[in-house]
Amino acid sequence: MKLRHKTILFITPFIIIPIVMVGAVSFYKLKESAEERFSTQVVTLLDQISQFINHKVDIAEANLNLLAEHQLVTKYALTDDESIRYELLLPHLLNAFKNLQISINDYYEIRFILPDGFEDARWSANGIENKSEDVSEEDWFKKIKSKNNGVYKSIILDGNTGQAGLLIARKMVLNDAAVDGYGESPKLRGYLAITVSLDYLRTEINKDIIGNTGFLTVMSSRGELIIKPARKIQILSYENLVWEISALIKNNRGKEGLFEIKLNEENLLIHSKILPAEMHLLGILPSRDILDSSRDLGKLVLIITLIAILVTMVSIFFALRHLILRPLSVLNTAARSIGNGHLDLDIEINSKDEIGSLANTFMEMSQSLRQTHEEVSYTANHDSLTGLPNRGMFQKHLSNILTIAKQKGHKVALLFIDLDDFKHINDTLGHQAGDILLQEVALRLSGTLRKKAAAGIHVTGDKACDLVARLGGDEFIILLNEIDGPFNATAVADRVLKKLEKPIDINNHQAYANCSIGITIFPGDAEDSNELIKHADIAMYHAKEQGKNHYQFYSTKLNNDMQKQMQINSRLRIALEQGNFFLHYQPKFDVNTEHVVGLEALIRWNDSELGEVSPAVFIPIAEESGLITPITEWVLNEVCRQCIAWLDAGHKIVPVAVNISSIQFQRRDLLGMINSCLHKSSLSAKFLEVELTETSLLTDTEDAIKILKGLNDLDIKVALDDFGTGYSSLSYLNELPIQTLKIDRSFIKNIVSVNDEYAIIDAIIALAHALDLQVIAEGVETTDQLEYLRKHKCDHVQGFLLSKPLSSDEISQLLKSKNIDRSIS
Amino acid sequence: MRSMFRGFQFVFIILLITSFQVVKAAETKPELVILNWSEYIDPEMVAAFEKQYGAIVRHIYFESDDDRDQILLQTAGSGFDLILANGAVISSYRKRGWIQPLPLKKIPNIKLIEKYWLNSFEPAIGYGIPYFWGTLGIAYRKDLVSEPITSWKQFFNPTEELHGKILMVKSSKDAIGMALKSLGYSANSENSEELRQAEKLLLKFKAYIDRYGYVALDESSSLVKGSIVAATVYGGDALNAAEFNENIVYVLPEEGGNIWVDFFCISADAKQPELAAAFIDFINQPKWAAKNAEEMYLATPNEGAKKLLSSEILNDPVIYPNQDKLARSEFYKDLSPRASRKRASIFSRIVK
Repeated sequence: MKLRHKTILFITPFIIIPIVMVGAVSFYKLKESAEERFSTQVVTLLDQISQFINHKVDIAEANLNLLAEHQLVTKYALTDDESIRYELLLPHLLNAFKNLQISINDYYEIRFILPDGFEDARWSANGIENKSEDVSEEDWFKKIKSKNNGVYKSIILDGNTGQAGLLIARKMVLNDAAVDGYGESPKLRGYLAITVSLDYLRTEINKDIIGNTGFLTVMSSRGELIIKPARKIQILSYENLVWEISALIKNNRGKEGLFEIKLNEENLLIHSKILPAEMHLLGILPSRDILDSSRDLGKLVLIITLIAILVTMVSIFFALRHLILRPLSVLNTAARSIGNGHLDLDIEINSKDEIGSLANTFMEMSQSLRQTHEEVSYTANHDSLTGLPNRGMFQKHLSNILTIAKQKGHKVALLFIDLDDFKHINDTLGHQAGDILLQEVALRLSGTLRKKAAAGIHVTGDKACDLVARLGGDEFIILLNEIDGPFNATAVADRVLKKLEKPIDINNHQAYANCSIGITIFPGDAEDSNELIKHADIAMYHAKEQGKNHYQFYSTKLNNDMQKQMQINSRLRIALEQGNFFLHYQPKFDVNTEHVVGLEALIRWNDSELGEVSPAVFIPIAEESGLITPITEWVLNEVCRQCIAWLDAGHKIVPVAVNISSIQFQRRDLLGMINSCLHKSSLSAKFLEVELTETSLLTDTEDAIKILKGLNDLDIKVALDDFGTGYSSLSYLNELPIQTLKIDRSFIKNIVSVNDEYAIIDAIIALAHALDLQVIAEGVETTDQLEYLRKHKCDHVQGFLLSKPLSSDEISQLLKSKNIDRSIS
Repeated sequence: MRSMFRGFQFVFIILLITSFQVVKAAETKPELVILNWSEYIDPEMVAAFEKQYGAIVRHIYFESDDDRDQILLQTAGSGFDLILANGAVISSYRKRGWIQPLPLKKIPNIKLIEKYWLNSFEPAIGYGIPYFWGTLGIAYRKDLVSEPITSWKQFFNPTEELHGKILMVKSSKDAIGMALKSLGYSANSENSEELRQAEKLLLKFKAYIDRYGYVALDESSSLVKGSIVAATVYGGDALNAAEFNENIVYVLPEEGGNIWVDFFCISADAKQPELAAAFIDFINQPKWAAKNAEEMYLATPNEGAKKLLSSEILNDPVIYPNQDKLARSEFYKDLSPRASRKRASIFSRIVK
């Protein structure tokens, strides 16, 4: 279980329980107060209404008494004569009634009633017609009749309107001072009655609502419904309700307070308030209503509680996440990344609490881990004695190098070095001396590398680096990356042998650490790194067998070739120093006139040890070893010198072509070299021509074109040698600033009959002419060949048929005797 | 000539004046208090009386018959020497004990009164001397109606042009009586059904009238100005108003109207009963009676005076109407108590 879940599980009860408890308590408190409020609301409402009604009745009573004492009224009451009463008094009485009614609108009926119940004078609001003028049979009249003096109040159902009204009446018991004798008791003269409208009560009752379904009503003490509730009673059968309440009121006549009845399984709370005229003002509230509101309240409290829980939980969760969980997770990620070996940590926690300090500790820990790791890694990859990479590291490095070499087609060489007689040194001088020797050897080996050695440094990057490593004991190994050929390896091997030939000083004792070297070349000698090392080891043993202080290739052919090459190479140096080279010149002829049109200078080497060596053999070796440059330079100088000599001898001369090897051409210093030769000899450039092979132009055409243009600018013509053997794209042929195409001798050799068709030759000639180039055929040895070329309009020919290459003296003769075409004097 | 200013009189004011008068009378000249309409007697004649008898005549005015009844009810009939009452109320006043029999010997000029008028109201015989008589008809602005008004029927069923421009005398007898006449019944009807019809008509009519009241007789009269176009008026009042606007026409409707007779009665509680009798006799001298009639522009029941009247008055159909119409007109009779009661209650309902 995650910390997050644990925390939540732990905290949740602490949040939920108090909130739920608060919710529950507040629910019960609110419920209680809601119930109380209901009760208070009803009681207050009833009180308000009853107060108002009481007030109204009091005023009405006062008005009734005032009216009764009104002179006009008493006069009227005391007047027995009907004609006077009606003729003289009634209009005024009615006017008085009317004025009272207008001023207090509620008094909708004001009457003076004679003792026998005859409605003698009546004013009614709205001119409602009177149906009966005799009230003697009405209940209230019977009652007031039996009553003593005073005001009598009763609810009456108006016979005219059918509505209930509140009747306030009193007897008019008067003495007629004019007629009655002194001491005579006053007589009943009639009754004065005001009927007060209950409209106000009706309005109040219809207006006021209690709860959702509660209502108000007014009943008489006999249980008659005086004012019907206008609201639809939704819950109960109306008749039953009225009947039940009516029974209740009858049983509790004149009692105020709270009653509870059960009707159709429903509890009804009934507040009763006594109004004047024995009216009961009733507030009826189904207890379900209170429950309903409690339920609503409960829902509200529940919702609030849930929201409170949710909000609290979410807040705590986010706080937790922000303050603890996220930093923890960052630390966790950091720890994991340390575990994965990424020790460069930057933990983004800036808080100053425990977590912040934990993060700092983490970083410190990771830094010290990194140092340790680097130390361990160094120790693991390096030889502790010499500081050189050890076998493990070397193998890893070699694997990488080989992978790259395979992809890019590089050559790699391994030099497996084993010290001769190291055991002897150990035995005689002690291990410590042996160690010192090994350290010195390591130092010297590092100095033999072609490029800056990366001894002790982790070798990475795309820069090819050579590497020295100690494989163990007295075994060292050198890796040469991206070599041009085996000769790079031999050069290094030579240097190693040479460096270790010098004695090593150990405790004032001269020790020699000669070694044997085995060489393997990748690709060729092995497919993978282990095999390559193993084969180098084998080659090293071969070297030891051959007499120590020696190196040996794993491949035998290579061994021989390299020995031969080494020999030629060293002889070439000598030849250069001693001037053992000389030039022959092969003339070029016009195919029709057979006049000499030019010469091709050809180098010849006659070595005292090796005898005559063909250029085909020594030129590639010179190219590999770099001797090609001094050789080319020698050729150019010699040609220039010879031409000047011929000119000085008074000969007409023709341009002399010099072959430039593709390696030389690629070195790009050709122009400078030619310039300097011409300058030194003062020979005009027009006597010099250059022959290039197609391959010279393949590697970097743009650069090649620049050089060719430079030659043209010097007024030196260029011929493309061995044309047809390379892979020249004909598409750019016309862009090359050359003047001549030289058809390769292999095509010419094929010509056996002048009458046959040789498509390639025809095509080359046609192409050359189309491009406005001259075309020359070399290796022409038969008349058929010559005839064919002449027939097919080749411009010039060269070959044994017309002339083999000649010495300078022979050329001098030729220049004297033969016609020379295009000769330049 | 009597005029009906709508005044405002409180009982206590009357009482105050009365008591003041009593004190004053004891010290100086005897005072004669007359309850009367305003401007209903020639002041010169009153002055002549005062001079001759060394007395002071003080007038207390009422503004309507009901008003007078009320004043008397409040004072229980006391505080006056002479009470001017119309024939219809004399019966009640007698029953109420507010008036006393006339000392006929002290009023020799009674012999000059036409018997017809003297006996026109039976209860008045021996209790009141006729003062003036006249009719109740309709005054209207002939320039403001599209059709001349000639009948009560027309009056009680007005055209829309009269809406809110009618004035009705504030008297239950007149309102109900004339409504009955418009319906073709007697103004004194006691028939319940006829009264019911009259009430119905009056309730409908209520919407058309401006108010119940009396037309002012001066320039400011609403009839003169035209805000009232038709009104029930006493003939003399109509003539008075016509002086300010010649378009005012008085008509005694085809159904006839009410013939009223005003009587002077001596209050049962009179402080100066002798002086009162002397006053009645004085004003019935033909010379004064004629002058009074000329001044008031009303018909006098005094035969002696009538002989002295100008032909202008005698030939004025407003003052002395056409005999046919007069024959169709009625005196108000005493009604049965229950009928009075009914009328009182009807009137209380129809008055705005």
